[in-house]
Amino acid sequence: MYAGDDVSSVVVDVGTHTTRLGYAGEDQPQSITSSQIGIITEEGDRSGEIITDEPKIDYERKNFEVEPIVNTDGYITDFDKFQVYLENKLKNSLQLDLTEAPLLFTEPNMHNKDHRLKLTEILFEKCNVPCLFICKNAVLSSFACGKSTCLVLDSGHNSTYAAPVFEGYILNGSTLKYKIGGSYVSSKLHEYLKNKGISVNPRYSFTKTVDGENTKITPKDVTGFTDSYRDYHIEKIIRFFKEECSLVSDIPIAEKKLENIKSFEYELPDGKKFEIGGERCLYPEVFFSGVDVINQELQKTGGDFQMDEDNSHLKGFIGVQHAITESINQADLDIRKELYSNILATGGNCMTQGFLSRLQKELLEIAPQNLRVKASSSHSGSVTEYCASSFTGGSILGSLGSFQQMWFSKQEYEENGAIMVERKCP
Amino acid sequence: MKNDVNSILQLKKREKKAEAKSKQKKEKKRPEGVNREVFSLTNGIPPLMGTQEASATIKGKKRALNWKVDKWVWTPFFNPARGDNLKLKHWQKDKNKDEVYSFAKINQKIALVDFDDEEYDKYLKDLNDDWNKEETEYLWEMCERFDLRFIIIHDRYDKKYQRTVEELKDRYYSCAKKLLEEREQEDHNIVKKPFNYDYEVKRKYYLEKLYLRTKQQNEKEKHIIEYIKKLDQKLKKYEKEEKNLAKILDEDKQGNLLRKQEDDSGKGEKKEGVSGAYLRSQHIIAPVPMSEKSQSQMDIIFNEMELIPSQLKPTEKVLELFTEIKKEIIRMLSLHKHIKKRKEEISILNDKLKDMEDFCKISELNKSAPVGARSTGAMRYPPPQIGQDHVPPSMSRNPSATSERLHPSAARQSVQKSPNKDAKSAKGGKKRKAGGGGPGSKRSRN
Repeated sequence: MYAGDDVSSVVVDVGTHTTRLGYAGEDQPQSITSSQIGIITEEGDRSGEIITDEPKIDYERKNFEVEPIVNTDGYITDFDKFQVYLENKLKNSLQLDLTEAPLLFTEPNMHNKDHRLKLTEILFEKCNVPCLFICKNAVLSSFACGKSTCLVLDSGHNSTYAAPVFEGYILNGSTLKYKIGGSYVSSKLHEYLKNKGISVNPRYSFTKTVDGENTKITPKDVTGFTDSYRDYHIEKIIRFFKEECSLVSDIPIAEKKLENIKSFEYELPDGKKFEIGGERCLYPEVFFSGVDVINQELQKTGGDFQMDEDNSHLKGFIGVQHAITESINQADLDIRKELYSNILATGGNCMTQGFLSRLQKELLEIAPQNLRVKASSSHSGSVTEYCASSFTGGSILGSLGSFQQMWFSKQEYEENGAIMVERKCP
Repeated sequence: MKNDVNSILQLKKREKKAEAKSKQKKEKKRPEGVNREVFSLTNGIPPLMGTQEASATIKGKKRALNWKVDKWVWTPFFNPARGDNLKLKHWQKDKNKDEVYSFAKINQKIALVDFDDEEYDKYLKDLNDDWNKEETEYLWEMCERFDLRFIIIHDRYDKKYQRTVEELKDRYYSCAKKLLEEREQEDHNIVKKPFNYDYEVKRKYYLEKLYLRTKQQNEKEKHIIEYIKKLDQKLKKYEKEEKNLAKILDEDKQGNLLRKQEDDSGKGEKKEGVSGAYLRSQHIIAPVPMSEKSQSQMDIIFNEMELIPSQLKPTEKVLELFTEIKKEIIRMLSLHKHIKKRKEEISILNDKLKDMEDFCKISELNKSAPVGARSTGAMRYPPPQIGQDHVPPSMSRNPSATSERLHPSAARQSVQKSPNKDAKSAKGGKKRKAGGGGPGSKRSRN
């Protein structure tokens, strides 16, 4: 019996780096755009206008602030701006009116009651959605993989979570969160380039002319461009660089000589060419050894480097493999076996070359010996599967026939209040 | 068309005729209802099998045109599984629009054993002093919400109550059992197989211990098991040979030496010798069916005695005496073998005794050693309250007791696989089973 029933519901998956939206029933989101909005600060009739389209944000303009719609924990801080963002996105990408669409929202894995209540209120009162469901990222990622019980390692842009999901419910008491993610590696690489004397210039700060074999770079005037706008563009460049060069080594970096790693040549958009050697393995290593080891290694190689000023929040983090085992150890004994044999790695950061195989290797060493340990990612391991696995899970959930009874409708909201969301959306 | 072709191409008459013939042939054979092109596909030869008539053939065309496509509408529908009036829209066949929503029947709920106030006051109030009515009702609510998935219930349970999973299960199942018994529904599973709180706690304690084992411990255990297997095999071999030997020694008295030593067919009654006529001279030199080694040993002894079989005069008396000698020699050789084995056994057992004594001393010292590298996963469950009757009998550590049990027949106790046995005592039990050392034996060999 075909279990799907298409009610044209929409899945909105808001992350700290990108936001994925699309219809439920699709395997890929209709749009994956950055979770940033631009605000025109220029004096004039457009002052204060919020720009939500990514190409429009990229457009070269002065007096233009760029800010994220969610904070680094993944929670929405300014709901008014978020409402504008959501409405625009739905209209432009899906040509859909919010008042017609059942909405399936995702939220970060740590339970935040206030955020939920506020979100419910805004969506029902201001946006007038007909019905709503809020679900945790980990649960949806596990559905995307076809499992109802697994341990989800979600390593994204700003944070890394180890969350056990049992029979479709997340175990709040055993979920762990660490504030480290892909952005750490990006910032470290940026520092590295600075220390090497290579400044990364955003695309609007130069013009590049190609004349046969010669390329000529002429710098442009950069007054008037805001800092946030500049950082936005630089981050993009660094991200491309990071995605090409980072590598997770197969043995702990402390045992490996950084000099032996094959170096990698890269050319920045403004023509600067350089090579990166062992450092391409050093920074991603933080996910398996913790920040202290990285600092030690940097000290060994000498040279200038900046100690991480504020790493107190990362004190307990000694590697994702330890996060996983710790999370499983906090869960009930009876389900540990099942959790160990179903470990799911998701999130953009897990796409780093060599991440998954290193994870499997490390886990085999520290997990109980008589248990089968298997770490895997979603089926094909394509970009969408990693970055948008919670979208895919939401799409599956929202299009199931047996799910249609679980929506939290406006009528229920009006009768019972926003607190009902805690009961209806476990 | 023929004339046109003719005039254009100016074909010869013969070809014309051939053409005409072939065309006629074709036209003759082509059946009606089959298109010219289709027929020419198969070169005029009808197909071997009949084809199924598609409904859009000439005959079925009318049928096909009468088909009506079902109309689908984007319509709001009512979902009986919902408690409110939310009407979502979906695509549905127009003719089915009055059908009940097919997914509503999936909304199954677990049948909780529920109680009302009266029943609570009567039966459940005094069942467990640790629980009050408020908490019991809260637990029931959680059970209904999460369909008796206790692990999730425990995760979402209010922290102020501080209950473990076993306590929650215990409360629910004991109450349910009491209620069912009072309602006289004794054939429910909860009554037949009641929840055993103590057993669950113990089981989890040992499971946790199992998970906290280090790699080294696991490898050690593997080693020991392999070793025991080898020793078992050796023991079996010894037993077999002993049996054979015993048989041989018995058979000797009945005089059946010419048979092979390992032959235990047990035909002790049969008379000595070969049936029928034979030459004694041949009989003397005939090789006795036994192993090469023993044969060569016998030859050595003959040499020492300066007895050469081929030079003996094959009289009856000589033959008799010679077979006697052979008997005695074989008996002597087997006894030698037996003695040798026994001596070996004694030395091994002595070694084992020494090892056991050493091990006892070491285990006394190691009693207070830490659990292992992963003590951060500290055991949440306290060691179970093991009552007197649960103390396994093999827990004694006195060297005198162990030396008593060194007797092989007593050592053949089967190793109990009850959870009550501590890992160390289990090792000790296994050691006593077969001849051979434990972890210390490697030391002595090296």
